[in-house]
Amino acid sequence: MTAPSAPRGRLLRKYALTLAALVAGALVVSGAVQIWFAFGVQRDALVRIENEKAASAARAIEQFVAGIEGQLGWTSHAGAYTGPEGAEQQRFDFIRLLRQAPSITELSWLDDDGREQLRTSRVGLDVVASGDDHSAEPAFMEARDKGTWHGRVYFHKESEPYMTIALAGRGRGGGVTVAEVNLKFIWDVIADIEVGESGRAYVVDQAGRLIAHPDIGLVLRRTELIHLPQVAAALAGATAGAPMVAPDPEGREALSLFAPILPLGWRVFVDLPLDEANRPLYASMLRTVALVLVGVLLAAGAGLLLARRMTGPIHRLQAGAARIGGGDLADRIEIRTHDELEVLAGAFNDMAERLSQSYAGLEGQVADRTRALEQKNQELETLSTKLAKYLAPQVYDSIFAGRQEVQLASQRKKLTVFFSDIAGFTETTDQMESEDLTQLINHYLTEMARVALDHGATIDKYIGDAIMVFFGDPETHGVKEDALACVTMAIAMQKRMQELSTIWRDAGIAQPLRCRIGIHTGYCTVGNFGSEDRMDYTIIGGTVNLASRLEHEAPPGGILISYETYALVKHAIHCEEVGRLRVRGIAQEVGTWRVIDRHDELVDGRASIRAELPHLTLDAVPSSMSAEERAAAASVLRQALDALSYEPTEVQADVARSGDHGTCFSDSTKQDDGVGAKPV
Amino acid sequence: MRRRDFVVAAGGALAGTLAGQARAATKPLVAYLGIASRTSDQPFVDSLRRGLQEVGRTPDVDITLVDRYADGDLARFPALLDDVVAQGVAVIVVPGIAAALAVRERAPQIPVVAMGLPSTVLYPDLFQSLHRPGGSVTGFSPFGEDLADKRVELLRELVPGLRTVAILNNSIDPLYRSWGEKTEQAARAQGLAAVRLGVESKERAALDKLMRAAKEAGAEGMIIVRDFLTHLLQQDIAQKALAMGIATMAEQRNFVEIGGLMSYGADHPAMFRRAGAYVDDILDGADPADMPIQLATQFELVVNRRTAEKLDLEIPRSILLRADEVIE
Repeated sequence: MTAPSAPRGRLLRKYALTLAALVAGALVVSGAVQIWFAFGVQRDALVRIENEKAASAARAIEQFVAGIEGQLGWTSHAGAYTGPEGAEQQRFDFIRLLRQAPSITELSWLDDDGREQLRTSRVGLDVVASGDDHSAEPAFMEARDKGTWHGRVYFHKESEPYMTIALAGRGRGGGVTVAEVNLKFIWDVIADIEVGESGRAYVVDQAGRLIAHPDIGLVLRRTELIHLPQVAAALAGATAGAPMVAPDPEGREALSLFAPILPLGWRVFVDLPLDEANRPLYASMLRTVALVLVGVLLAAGAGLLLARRMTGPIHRLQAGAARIGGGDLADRIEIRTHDELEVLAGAFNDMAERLSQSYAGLEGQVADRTRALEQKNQELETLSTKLAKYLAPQVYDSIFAGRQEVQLASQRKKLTVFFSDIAGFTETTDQMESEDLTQLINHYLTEMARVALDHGATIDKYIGDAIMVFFGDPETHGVKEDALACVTMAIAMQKRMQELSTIWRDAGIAQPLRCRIGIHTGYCTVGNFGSEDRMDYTIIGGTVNLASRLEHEAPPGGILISYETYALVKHAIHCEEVGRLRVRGIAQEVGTWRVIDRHDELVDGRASIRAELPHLTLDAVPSSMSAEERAAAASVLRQALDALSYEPTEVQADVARSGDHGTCFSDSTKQDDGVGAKPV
Repeated sequence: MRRRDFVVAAGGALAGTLAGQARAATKPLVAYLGIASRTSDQPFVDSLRRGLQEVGRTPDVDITLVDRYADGDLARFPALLDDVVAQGVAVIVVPGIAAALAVRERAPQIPVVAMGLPSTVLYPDLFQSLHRPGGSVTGFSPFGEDLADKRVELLRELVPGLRTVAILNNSIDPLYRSWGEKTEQAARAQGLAAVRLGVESKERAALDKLMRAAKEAGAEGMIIVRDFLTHLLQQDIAQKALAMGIATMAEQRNFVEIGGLMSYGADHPAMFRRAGAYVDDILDGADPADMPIQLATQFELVVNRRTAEKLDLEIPRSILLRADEVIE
């Protein structure tokens, strides 16, 4: 909406102007054509009318002259007036003719010899038989030769136009009748001809003099019109009836044409001033101009309206497109113009629809991908959980928490290292099916691992039935604490082993499994060792070897620790020195201690009595017993003693000893050894 | 529709009123100034009025037409003239040469349409030629003096054995005297004895004396040269001549209508009617100097049969044929 707002309205103006210009142009052209044709048509009509007027005027003047000739003929028709009576009759006839033809001023009759025999006049005296010789005059000669003669126009008293008409009488003695005709009477003919409002008809003789004109003054002034172009052209032989624009006798520009008056050689001109001739044309032009103006106004209005109707939807389209472009994909453009614009709006709406659909599809895809990713994550987690089993939880945690870089790095640290294995494992398990073996060893390792983890140990690795564990890396609570935890763990393991041996015996493993444990505290190199492809997080060093060696030296079911460890745990653990041990690779002999139990555990040592001997199983917890139970238990044991009384005392001694020393692993092993050595 | 009609009608009425007022404000003044009397000139004024009407200058509507008469006293004429000039007269119409000369002399700036002008240039001051008068005077020439021969001839035809003819003319004005002389010559040329009688005033007694003189001279006929005096006295002349048994020949039919025997001359009322067109042209701005003096084209012969009978005269065929009218 911002960028296109600058040229807004230009389309409107453009359309409106174009429409207006088109219509105005068409109107102007049509108006011009109309005026052009109207000019032609109107001019033709005018010329036709003027021609008719001119022709009728010419005919009227011809008739005027013909009328006079006819009357002259009538007087000569009487033939020869013979004798005095004849002369008298002729005079009467002439007088009558003067009465009937007011334009004739004077009449005379010449006999065949050209001598005047009679003259009657309105002005002068009537003369009878004057005998004046007129035989040499053209009036007489021409009339005698041709029958009729029309004289040139002359001006009586330099003002009044006159013409002589001579007519020969019939046969011998007819003579020639000569009439002087006052041409002012043509005025009546000419004045009656109306040529428009200001047009004029006038008569010009062969010399170009004005003979008749509605303004009699012009005639009486003996106006010469030879200087007028139309008169000059007519006298030079121009075609009658052809219109010409020229000044009329009064000096106005006029449309002029003429008709000839043949017998006299005169011409009737009809002039219509251009002002009047063109008046209808001007009116028509004015009308056309007015129409064009109105048309232009209408066209401008219509153009504005049409353009508005066109640009309205376009602006709505533009606004709609801007909204869709702005992200409002739900927006739809409403245009109902039933034309291409509506189609365009539909296309826009389709586009918006598709856009919104593809948006929705995209979101679905994103959700799908996210789900797949989560699944993969879960799989990875599962995988890593599985992997975790192969790693020490501490290592696992620190690796997965990103605390420890998985790289070939190592450091030297003081750790407590623990080794254990099952004494005589190979012999015990040699006969077992692999499934059972697997189940057994897994069970064993699981139980041990649980105890180890409970005590915060880092399980380095399992080597068959052997377990390697250390404390102090990756987490350490201090060397002393680590060592104590390790020893405590070893004790717990041995105790758990005693419990497990019951379970395993029930499961069919006759030979009880005993484990040997060796513990040593010392400096090790800890870190990731191996190739680029395969690595182990482990410890190496003499400490490890010594721990392993101690384990080998430990009796089954016993825990053997080095002096270094003993020094760290002696405050809490009761131990017995075993003696010095020579270890390969170590120059001095190593002092070894056998772990008895925790000091606090030793206090409650008599709380329970347990014994598992061939043919004897004893599990008594006197501390938990009531008085009656104690009595009953004592009774059972007395019976047992009674039953055993006839046997050698050795057995009694054993029982007594165990009673002296409490539960002790070493005792058991001694007994085992004893049992093993001496049959019962 | 009604309201529109009303508005149009009201507008039209208003416009008409305004136009009327505007025209009234500029209504041109046309004056007829006669030396003779209202009675004698009435036919002329009526004809002039009609003529003006015919060209769209209706008196009292389009123009103001006033007529003033000196009652035969030429001395009174200048006062009349001064009066209308003071009123801003646009055109002055006069019936004859004497009046035309008087206006020409006293108010040369005022256009004059004159009747009864001579057909020749007798007074260059009046006009220089018929076709281009060149001054402030234009008008019509009745051909009066040119018809002298014809009048004598016609009188001779009507009065058989006519030997002596009396010629009555205004003797104050040299113009009319010369016309009288011309007529006298014409009479003599046709073998008649002629007695010329000069009228010097409008007094009847003087006229009586003249008429008696004519009778004593043995005149059987009398030709009256028209001027304002003879025109003024035409009634007395006709009656006295009849009483004395003298056949009269005048110029204007009016004379015959009141008892004269015959008249031959231009149709004066017709000329006065045509004078209306000239007045119109001048009011439209035409210059009299360029307006040709029109000669009369029609002459009428009027005979009074009763007068002829009283004179014991028989109207001959030639006269009857020629007569335009025979008053019974």
